[in-house]
Amino acid sequence: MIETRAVPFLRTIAGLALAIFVIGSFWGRGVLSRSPSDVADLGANLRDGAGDGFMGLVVIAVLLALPMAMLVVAWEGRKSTPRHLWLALATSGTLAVSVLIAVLAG
Amino acid sequence: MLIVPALSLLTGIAFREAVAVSLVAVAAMSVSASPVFLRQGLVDIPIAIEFQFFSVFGAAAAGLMAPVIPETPLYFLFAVVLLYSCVRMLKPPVAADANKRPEAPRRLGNAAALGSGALSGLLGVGGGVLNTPVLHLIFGLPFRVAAGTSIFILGATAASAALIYLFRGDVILGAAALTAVGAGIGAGLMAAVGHRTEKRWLRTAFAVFLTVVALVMVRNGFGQLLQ
Repeated sequence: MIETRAVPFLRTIAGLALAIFVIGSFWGRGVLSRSPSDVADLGANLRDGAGDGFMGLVVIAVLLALPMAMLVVAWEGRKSTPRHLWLALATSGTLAVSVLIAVLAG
Repeated sequence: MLIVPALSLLTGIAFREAVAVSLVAVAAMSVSASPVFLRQGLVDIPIAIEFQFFSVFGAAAAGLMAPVIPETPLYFLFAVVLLYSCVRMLKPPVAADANKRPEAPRRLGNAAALGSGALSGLLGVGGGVLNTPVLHLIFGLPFRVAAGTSIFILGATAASAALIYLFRGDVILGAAALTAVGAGIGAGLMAAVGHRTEKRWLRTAFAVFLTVVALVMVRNGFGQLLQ
């Protein structure tokens, strides 16, 4: 067994995302509350869920979890392999710049 | 691997939106399965960090380029990736000697990471179908460690492309959240019991299924080409 704080961190994020999804669904705003009449309408029904705050939170939580977990493991090993911390930070920087370009480009 | 064809062929969601939803699901799978592999020591963290730097760069570049790339060639590219994964699925993994680890040719490994990230960002596939053989054959990791490291890497790779799609407004939030929750639960269960379900007939059946999906994607590609 390897102990790293990335494990409880990822489990917490996964649990939180699931909890937000369940709350969002029962709140009456999620996709589960919409019953598609048939398969052909599924796309349209899923599209109705766009803009839902709860679902947006689930997506953001899931997308930020792994880059942050990578930073956690790089930080834990900073004394033995400081180069990896810099690489992990550079990866996060690349990600942030790309998102900024996407936002600016519309 | 199946989310993009399922969404684009069954629900009529546009290919790029299906890719975006699939990327969120891939990230969720990684979030769910990585803790299991991390605890079991099946993630080579130094290699993961190095590999990820290049794969995130490739995925981000692909995510930014996606709007200017036409959909038709992507259908064909997706079919090629599906057929390649069928071949990989039917071939038994080569057992690597854990004590004899070759020094990875850095440029080749980095180029493979860049390419795998780009493919992931363009097609919404996990990249495991490429990452695992690269980590196994080029970096010399034992097969299970290569698979565990690949799962850990592909979460951030998919997330980097998915965040670009998200901020551009290509992610259908309801579909993404629903798919992510399903994929996350499935991946968590598979990570826990996956090593007990190594059935050859299951791999063969899945390979046949992927071939059928690849053929449908080719048909759709030709359909768009002829329009």
